Amino acid sequence: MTSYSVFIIDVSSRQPVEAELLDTIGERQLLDWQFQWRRTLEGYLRRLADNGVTRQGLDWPQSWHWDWRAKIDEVRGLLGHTGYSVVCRDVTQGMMRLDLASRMARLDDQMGKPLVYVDYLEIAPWNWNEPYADPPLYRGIGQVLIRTAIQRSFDEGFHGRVGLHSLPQAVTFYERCGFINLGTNPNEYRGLLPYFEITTERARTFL
Amino acid sequence: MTYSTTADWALARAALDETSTPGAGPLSARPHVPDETFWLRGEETRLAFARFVNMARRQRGWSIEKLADDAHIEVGELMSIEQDGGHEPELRTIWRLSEVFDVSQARLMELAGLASPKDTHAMEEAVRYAARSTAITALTAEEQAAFDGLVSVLRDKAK
Repeated sequence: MTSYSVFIIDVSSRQPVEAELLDTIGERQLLDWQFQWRRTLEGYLRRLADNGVTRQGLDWPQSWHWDWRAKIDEVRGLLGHTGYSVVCRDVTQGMMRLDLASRMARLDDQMGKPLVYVDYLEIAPWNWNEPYADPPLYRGIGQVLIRTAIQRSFDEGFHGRVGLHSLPQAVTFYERCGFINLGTNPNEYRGLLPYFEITTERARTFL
Repeated sequence: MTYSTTADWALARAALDETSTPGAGPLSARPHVPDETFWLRGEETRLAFARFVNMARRQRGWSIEKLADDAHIEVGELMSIEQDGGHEPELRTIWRLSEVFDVSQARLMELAGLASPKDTHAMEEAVRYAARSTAITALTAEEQAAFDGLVSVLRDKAK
């Protein structure tokens, strides 16, 4: 396992704090997810319920039954997949799973060329900027992870090309990162998640 | 991997995501819910799908292993379908189950949450039938009636 020194922002002090970028999602990260992320998420769900937000409401999170452990187990040992995590003050703050092998670019000027595809990217619930959530503890974790995906793309010889399906609420985030929105497809994720891609030139600008 | 960055870069970039929470892929949280049927599709109907497979198998007196052999489906996949309401089945699994149980493949896909329901009412009906059943070793008369109702919804191949 390799650890890289990175910086994220402590929201209360507005100052950068040192964090670790790990080129793995290990047992330690899965335990953090299992016992810390989910506990915070449960508290958040209770708060939503207390505020009258129902499962039909727009603010209800859907990840409570989703399983990072299963998602990591299903690609364990596969060379085409890898994971990264950001750890700060001994707690996992964000995780990302990458597909390095099976996806091709869709933008006209790079159509069919290999790229790094972000299978999953999630940050710890206490860093969410969401209705009824406490103010986030840290900011900039997503930026570190996207930078990682882009850097990995350059290292793989994919010239910085990265693709992903964004959550609808994260559209602005990826646009600000320089990604191009190719819209939704009814055959992918029930037409809910728009596909984004970044070009070599924009990837260089991001770094 | 080569990776180096600075505190200044982090400050400048973090300022850009002050109003949004990054997330990608279906594992991440908080997708918008476009309408009420989204939740019906994603959770309730999949639980109904799990109940349907469980009841259809038991009605025939089959073990999971027997169904797996006959339908050429992995035992683990079948167990996940019956026991894990969050499990998303493979498309080919749906096709094989629809063949074995003689129900509409399209309807079964809708129930499993792999296709948008063309008839939301039928899916709600299927969920209601499934909700009336309880897991015991043999089908009771009441369970059999609920199961028959579920099959009648799923056999409507016209839609």
